[in-house]
Formats: sequence, structure tokens, C-alpha cells
Amino acid sequence: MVLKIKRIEIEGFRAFRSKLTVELGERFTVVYGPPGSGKTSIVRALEFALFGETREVASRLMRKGDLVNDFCDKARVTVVLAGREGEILVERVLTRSGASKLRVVEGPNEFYDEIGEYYLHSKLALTLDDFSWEVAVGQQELQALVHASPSVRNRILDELLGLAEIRKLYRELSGKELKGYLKALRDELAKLDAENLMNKYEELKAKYREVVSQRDTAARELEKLETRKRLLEEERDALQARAVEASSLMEERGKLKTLLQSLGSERLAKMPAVDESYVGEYAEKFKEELAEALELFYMGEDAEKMRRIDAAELAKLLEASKELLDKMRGYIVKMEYEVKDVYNEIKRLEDYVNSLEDEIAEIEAKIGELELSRSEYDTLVSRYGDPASVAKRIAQLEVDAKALQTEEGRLRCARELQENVIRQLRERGAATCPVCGSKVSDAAALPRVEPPEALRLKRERIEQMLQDLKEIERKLRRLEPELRLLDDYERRRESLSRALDERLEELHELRASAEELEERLQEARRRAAELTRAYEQLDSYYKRLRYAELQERLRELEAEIKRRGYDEQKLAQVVKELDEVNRKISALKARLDLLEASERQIARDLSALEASVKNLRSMREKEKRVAALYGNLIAVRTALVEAHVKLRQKLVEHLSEAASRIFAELERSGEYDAIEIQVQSAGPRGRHGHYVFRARRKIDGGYVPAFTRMSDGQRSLLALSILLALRQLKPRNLAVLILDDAVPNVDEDTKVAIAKLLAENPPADLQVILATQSRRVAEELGPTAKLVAL
Amino acid sequence: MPAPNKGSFFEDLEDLLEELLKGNPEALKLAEKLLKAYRERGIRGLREELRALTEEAAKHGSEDQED
Repeated sequence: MVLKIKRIEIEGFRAFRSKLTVELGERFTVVYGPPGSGKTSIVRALEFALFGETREVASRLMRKGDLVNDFCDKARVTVVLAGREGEILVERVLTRSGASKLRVVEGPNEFYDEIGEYYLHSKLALTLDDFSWEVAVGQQELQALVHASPSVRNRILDELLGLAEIRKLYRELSGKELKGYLKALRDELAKLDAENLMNKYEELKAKYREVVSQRDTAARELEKLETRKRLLEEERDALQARAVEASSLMEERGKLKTLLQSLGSERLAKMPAVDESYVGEYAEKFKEELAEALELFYMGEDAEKMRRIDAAELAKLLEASKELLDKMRGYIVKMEYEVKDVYNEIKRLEDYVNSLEDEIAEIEAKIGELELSRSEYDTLVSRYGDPASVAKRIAQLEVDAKALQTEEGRLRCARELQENVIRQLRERGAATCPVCGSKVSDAAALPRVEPPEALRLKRERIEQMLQDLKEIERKLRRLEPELRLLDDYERRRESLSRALDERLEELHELRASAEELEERLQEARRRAAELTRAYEQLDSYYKRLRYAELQERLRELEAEIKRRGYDEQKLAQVVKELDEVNRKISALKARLDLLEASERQIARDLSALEASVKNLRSMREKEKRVAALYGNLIAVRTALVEAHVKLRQKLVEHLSEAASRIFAELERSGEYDAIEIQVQSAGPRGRHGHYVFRARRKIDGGYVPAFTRMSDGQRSLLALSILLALRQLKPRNLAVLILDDAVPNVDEDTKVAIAKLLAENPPADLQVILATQSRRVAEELGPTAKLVAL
Repeated sequence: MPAPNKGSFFEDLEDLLEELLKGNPEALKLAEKLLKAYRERGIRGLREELRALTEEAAKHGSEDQED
């Protein structure tokens, strides 16, 4: 549905306080007014009516409520769109708070607000952005295209050509998340160690089959054995029933066998038979010998008891004999102890005697030494008398010596005096006796005084004697204790000798007693040994007799049992086989239990493993599907990229041609006569390509980079040419082109040329609205166009 | 908001994709699905469709894979 704008009513919106009604021409309208007269406000009012906001509000450069005139409470914009099927009235009211209401009326239908928005959009098929770039083009849009960097220009052109959709699409389909998921899946699969898991699974399955097979075989075997067991039990029961009939005989036979066993049947069976009468004689002789031996051992009562036993009663005789032999052995043991005691006593006495002998020898040695002292004493006494006589003589000699000493002194003094008197006589001729005082005149008259030497010699002889006697006395005194000790030793030797004699006598007696006891003990041992051998012989005879007797009875019993139809061997064989079968059944049941347990365990393991295998397979399938999806997605993306390039190529060819034609019309300087738009690939990401704009120089026909070589005005014309060409390539439901003083930086001629071009040959039969402040444009186009002066 | 006037653009795109993916029917089928989702529900629809396809691919293995 192609729509054009028939009328716009504006009240309270931006610069328009009071209501303004703008009637638009069907093909070409010039809105003329000086700066600030409201040309742009009419475009914004149109935007507001159709989209509920203006590009400034959408860009957040102003609030919606600011669109209301400062002197009004609300703004109202009504736009009447005209199409072949009728008119559509769009009315939007805006309060200062920013709330707005929409009413859309088409014929009898009225739509409000949200539904109205949807309805309106379905009719226009435009966004505000599309409207800004393709319908109401202002300076901003043209300058953006002129001054943009190549990449921004690329994006703008892609957007305008509708190719941005594809770019969005393939960017969205990068497959990054899917690839990540695929990698995670593969990592997880790698962790599962698939090969090992499958090998393990197959091994376990094979093991399970093997165990099941073994279990079945064992079960079949068990069944066979159970059948055999039943048969054997029946046979055993039948044989045992017959055995019950012969039970008393069998019981007796059992006892006999036990008895034979106790007698040592195996050994006795190998011995020759013995004559009963011979055994009787042997028993009688044994009894008598035992009795004699008992008497010898002072067991007279026991000997009598033995003699009273009847030798024919062998068992009784053997029993009593055994008891008495034990008693005899006890007696021997007692004797052995006695002999041992006697020998111990002998040993003790021998030790004592030895110690006595040692002591006597020691005393005698000491006596020998002391007897020398006694001999010396006796010699001294015989020569000098006893110590008392010696003492008496010493006392006498001491007195004599003293007297001699006194006499000697007296003589020595007298002689001294005489010598003094003689010396005086010789010197003076006279002398006075110093003792009596008498006058001495002649020396011869003086009495003779003997010289003291004789007395001195005598005295010295007496003193020598005195010394000798004193020495002898000391010796005698010293020998006296030794003589007393000698007496003691002699008395002790006497006593010990007596004791020794007594002990030696005692020892002799003990040795004789020990010999006698030894002889008796040997005799007792010999007798006991003989009797024990005789007892054993008799016991052996008894057992052989008893064995023969019992064997005879056993044979009788066996014959009787056999006669009654009881086959013991058969029963034993059956029981043995039954035991064997039971043993096999037990073993087989144990094996079966083990196999069943193993089977259950393997089944559990298998079940657990199956879950893992199932999971693994599921994962593999999942990985396969995700990989396929990823592959397909990448293929789609690649195709989209290629489609993008192709579509662009195709569109750019048309765009280039149309823009070149328009540019040739508008370019007034004559410098360039054509332009060319191409898509070039370059750089690592160049496969998507970028736009290249070139202009052909009229002078030489050479192409130069358009945006770098052209003046501002030429570039604006180039941008305008591209936008106009785009409108030709992309028809819109709203077949309107509004140029809001879009190219201010060109001369008046160019402005007029642009206006004329649009008025005479509008692109794609568009309704063109040219807002301008150029009076010349208004004047020149006024006659042919609808003119709205503000 | 849907863009109903873009029909011819998408038809051109579909034709191109059909040509480019003629050797890969599965990828073509996927492209059609995705394009349909995008046309009807925009980017959000495209994402939802892609998510649904991923979930479908990531679901557990079917019973016939059992041993």
C-alpha cells in the first residue's frame, strides 16, 4: 500500500503554540522559512505522530515531555495519510509528563494506542531509524555519510541496503556456544575411556555366559545325583529293616568286636593257639612263685591272699597279681629310697671324718711347734730353777750390787781425801785431815786405803749375772703361755681322736648295712622282673585263650546273621556310596551357590556397566547429532556470508548506476561527471568486502577516490545521490521524501538544481517535501510546486 | 516488530541460500528453519530456534541404539 502525506495539523508541539495546518502537495512541496521558523519542527511532528517519538528523544537528547510547547499543557499532532484505498488519520496527543495517546482511523475503523501502533506499523513498515535515513533526510544523516570512517560508512550502507540483517544473522550463527558444547561433549567422551569400557563390557558379558553355562551344567548334575541318592536311600532303608530284625545278634556281635579290639585282635590273630591245661599249670606255678616273693618282701598277708586264689580263674588271678606286682614295685621303690638314704648318711659321715682328720692334723702340727718351746723351758728350769727361784736370786744380786757400789764410792772418796792430804804434805809439809781435822805431818802415818778396782770388778761381775738372770726370767715368762696352749692342743687332739674313732666305727656299720640293703634290693628287682615277665606271659596266654573263645562266638553270630538274610557288606557298600553321593551333592550345592552368587554379582556389574555403556552410546549419538548440527550451522553461516557478498554485489551495481545518474544531474561544477560504487575485498576479514566510492574526472575520464578528493559540497551531493538512489532501489509503503535543508553547503544554483531535479523527476514517484530557507528555491519552484511559507 | 515489507529481501536470500546449499540438504533445511524463525520472531526467535535445535540434538539416545 503506497501512502503519501496529505495534511499535518500541529498544536502545542515544539515551536507551534497555536494550531498549524500544513496541506502538502501530492508530488512536490516546498516548505520555506527563515531559520527558527519551524521547518524542522514539522518533520519532528511528523516523526512524533507516526512513531510516538522523535529521533532526539530516541537518542535521549531530550525527554518526551519537552516536545510540548512551553505555553501549552499538551501537544497534538494529526497526520492524514492518503493512499489508493483511502485515507488514514493518525492523531497523537502528548502531555507534559510524557504520556501519549494514539488514535488511528481508517474508514470506519478506529484503533487506539497499542493496537493502533501495531496497525500503523503494519501500514508503514518503517522504523524511526528507517524514517530518518530514507524518508526525512536532514543534514545530520548526509553529514554522517560524508564524514564517517570507511567502516562506519560500510555499516550505514549495509543497513540502508538491508544487508545488515544478513550480517546480524551470520554473526548470530557463529556457533560458538555449540562448538563449546561439542568440545565439552568430546572431552566428556574422552574421559569415559570408551575403548576400555567396551572391552570390559564385552569381557563381562562373556564371563556371564560362561558362568550361566557352568551353573546349568552343575544344576543338571545335581539333579542326577539327587535321583541316585533317592535310589540308594531306598536300598539302604530296605537293608536296615532287615538289620533291625537281626539287631540283638548284631548288638552282641558289635560288643564282641569291641572286646576283640580291646584284646588287640590283630596281634593275637598272628599268635599260635595255646593249650588250656598248660596254661593252668603255668598259672599254678606263677601263683606259688609270686607268693614266695611276697613273703620275701615281708608281705605275708598278701602271700596268703594269693595262695587262696583259684589258679583256674585266670582273670581273677591276673587282676590280683597285677595289683600285688604293683605293690611289690612300690616296695622296691621304697627300698631304693632307703638305700639312697643310707648312702647319703655314709657320705655325710665320710665328710665329717675327713674334716676331723684334717683338724687333728692341723692340731698336731701346732703341737709339734710348741713342743720345742717346752723343751727350751724345761732346760732353763733344770739349769736356773723355776721362774720364782730366778726372781729370788735376782733380788739378792741386786742388793749385793748395791752394797758393792756404796763401798766402792766410800773407798773412792777416802782415797781422794788421802791424796789431797798427801799433796798438802808435799806442798806444805803439813796437812789437816778434812774429815777429822787432825794434823797430819807424815804421809806414812796415814791409814792404808785400798784401791776401788777390786770392788769395781766384783760389782761388774755381779751386774752381769743379774742381767743374765733377768734375761732368763723374761724367757721363762714368755714360754709359759705357749706351754699352756700346748696343753690345750693336746687336750683337743685327745677329744678329736676319740670322736674320730667313734665316727669311723659308725661308718663301718653303715657301710655294712648299705651292702646288705643293696643285696636285698637286687634280689627284689630280679624277683619282680621275673614275676612281671611271668605275669605278661600268663596274660598273653589268657588273651589268646579268650581271643579263641570270642572268635568262635563271633563266627557263630555271623553265621546266624547271614542265615537271617542281612547282608552287611551290601549295606556298608550302599551307605558308603550314599555318603559319597551326599558329599558330591554338598560340594555341588556349594559350587552351585558360588556360581549363582557369581552370576548375580556379574549381572549387577553388567547392569552397572550397561548403564555406562548406554550413557556412552547416548553420548556418542549426541556428539554425532551435535557435530552434525554444528557442521550444518557452519555451512549455513558460510552460505549466509556468501549470500551477503552476492546480494551486496548485486545491490551495489544497481546503486552505483542510479547514484551516478543522480550525481551527474546535481554536480554543477562540471569537474566530475560520474561516480562508481564498488565492493572490494581486502585484509584478513576482507571476504565480506567494503565499499569503495570513486568519481570520474570529466577532464580525463580517470577515476579518483571520491570522498578524499571532492569538496564538502560535492561530497554532500554524492551522499544525497546515494540516498536518493537507495529510495529508488528500495520502495517503501510511505512514498515520501523529505529533505530538511539537507545540503546547505552548496551554492544557490545547486540548491535550485536539486529542487528542480526532485520536482521534475522525483525518484520512484515519491512525494517530495523540500524544507529550505533559500528564498530563490522558493521563488523558482513556487509556481510549479505547493509552497508552504512559514 | 515484524518487518513485513522485507519479503522480497528474504525471498532473494532464500533463493541464494537454496543455490548455495543445494549440495547439503540438511544444512538447507536448517537454514530455512532459522530464517523462518528470524523472519517471524526476530533475533530472539532465531536464538530460541537454535537453542531448541541444540536441545533436540543433545537429548539422550533413542531406544533403537540399545544393544
